[in-house]
Amino acid sequence: MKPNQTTRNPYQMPTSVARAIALAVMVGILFLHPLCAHASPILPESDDAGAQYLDSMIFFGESTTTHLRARGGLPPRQIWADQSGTRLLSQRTASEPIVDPETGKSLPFRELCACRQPPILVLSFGLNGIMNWAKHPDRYLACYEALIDCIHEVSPSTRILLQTVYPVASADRFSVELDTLCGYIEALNAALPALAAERDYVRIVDTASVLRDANGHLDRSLADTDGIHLHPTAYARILQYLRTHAWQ
Amino acid sequence: MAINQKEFFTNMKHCLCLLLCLVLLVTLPACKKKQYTDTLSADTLAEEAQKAIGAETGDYTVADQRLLDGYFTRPKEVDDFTVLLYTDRNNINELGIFHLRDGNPRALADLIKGYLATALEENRDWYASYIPAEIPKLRDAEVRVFGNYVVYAILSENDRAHLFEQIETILTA
Repeated sequence: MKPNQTTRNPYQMPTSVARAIALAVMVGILFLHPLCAHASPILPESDDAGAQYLDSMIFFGESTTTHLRARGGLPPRQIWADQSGTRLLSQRTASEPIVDPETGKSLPFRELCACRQPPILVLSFGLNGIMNWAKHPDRYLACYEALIDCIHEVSPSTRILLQTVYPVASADRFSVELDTLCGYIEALNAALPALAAERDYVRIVDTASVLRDANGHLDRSLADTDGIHLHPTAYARILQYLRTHAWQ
Repeated sequence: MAINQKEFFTNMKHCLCLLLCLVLLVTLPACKKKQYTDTLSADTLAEEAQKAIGAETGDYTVADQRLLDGYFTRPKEVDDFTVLLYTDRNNINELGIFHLRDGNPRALADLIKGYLATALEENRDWYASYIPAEIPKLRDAEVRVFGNYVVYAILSENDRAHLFEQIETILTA
C-alpha cells in the first residue's frame, strides 16, 4: 500500500448516498404523516378524555339515544329529542321540530343547531330505518349526508361524531330473521366511514363494539326485555368508550 | 198516415239538431283553456295556503331546501319553490309549491308523485307504529298543476280541498 493512502471499506455506504436517503425519509415523513393521520375516520383508542369531554357532547338520534337521559345518567340538556323520544332518519330530519332542552320550546332541528352551535354533536341513526337502508342504501346514506351537510352549514365549528349502529338481540319488530337483521346493521356500519370521507369535521366512533356478544348480536346481559333497547350497564360502557376514543 | 209519419220524423230530426246545437253552445266555453297568473311568488302562495287550511302563526316551518333532493332532481326550470312542514312531529302535514319558468309542469308533477309514493313506502311502517292516524294523509296525497305552478299536499281530505280551491281562486283572479 502506498504511503498516505487510506483503505476504503467496500461495505460502507458513500456519504452522499446516505444523505440523500435521510433527506428522502424526512420529506416522506413530513408529507405522509398527515395523510396517515386521516387515513381512517374511525376514532382509535386514546387516553381517557374525562368527564369534561363528555360534557361537551350533544346527542341526537333514535330512542336508544334519548334513553341516555333516564338510563345513561346524562343531563337532559345534552339530549336533543322531541316529545316522542324517537326518530326515523329521513330527508325531513333537519327540518323536523325538536324540543330545545334549555327553553322547552319546539323548533326545527337545524335552527337549534344554528342557535346552540354544539362543540360536538353525536348522531345515532340506523335501527329505525334499517329496512329502508336494506332496500335503498344509496337513498338512506343520502339522508344521512343531507343531515350532516345541514349541520355543517348552520354550525361550521361543530364536530360531528357518527356512532355505529347498536346490535340487537331480537328481530321481533322486524320482518327478517335476527342474523339477517344483524347483517344489515353491520353493512350499514361498514358504509358509515364513507360519510366521513372528505369531511374533516366528521368521525366515526364504534360504540357498538362494546355491546356485541360472540355472535355479533346484542349481549343479552346489556339488553332490555325487548332485546333492542339497552340496560343502564350498556350506557355505562358506551360513555366510557366515548371517553377512551376521544377526538383529539 | 204515411205522410203524417214522414212529417213526424222530419220534425224529430229538426228537434234533435236544435238540441245538439244547444248542448254545444253550453259546453263549448268549458273547453277554453284556463288562464293562470304567473307572477306570484311561492312564498306568497304558501301564506295564502296556510290561511286556507286555518293554520296559525308558527304552525308550519319552511323545510330545508335539500328536503326533496334525495328523491328527484329538481328541474332547472324551477325558479322558485317552498316546502312547508307542520311543526309537530305527530302531524305529517306537508305542502309544496313550485313555479317553473317555462318547462313542463306535468313532468314535475310526475316527479313529485314519485316522491310521495316513495315517502309512503319508506314511512308507512314507522307511522303505523307511532301515528297510524296520519297514514291516510300520505296515502291520499295529491299533486295539482295550475299553469306554471305545481302544488302538492300531504293533508287531510278537508284541508286538501280548501287548499286547492284557494290556490285556484288566487291564480285565476
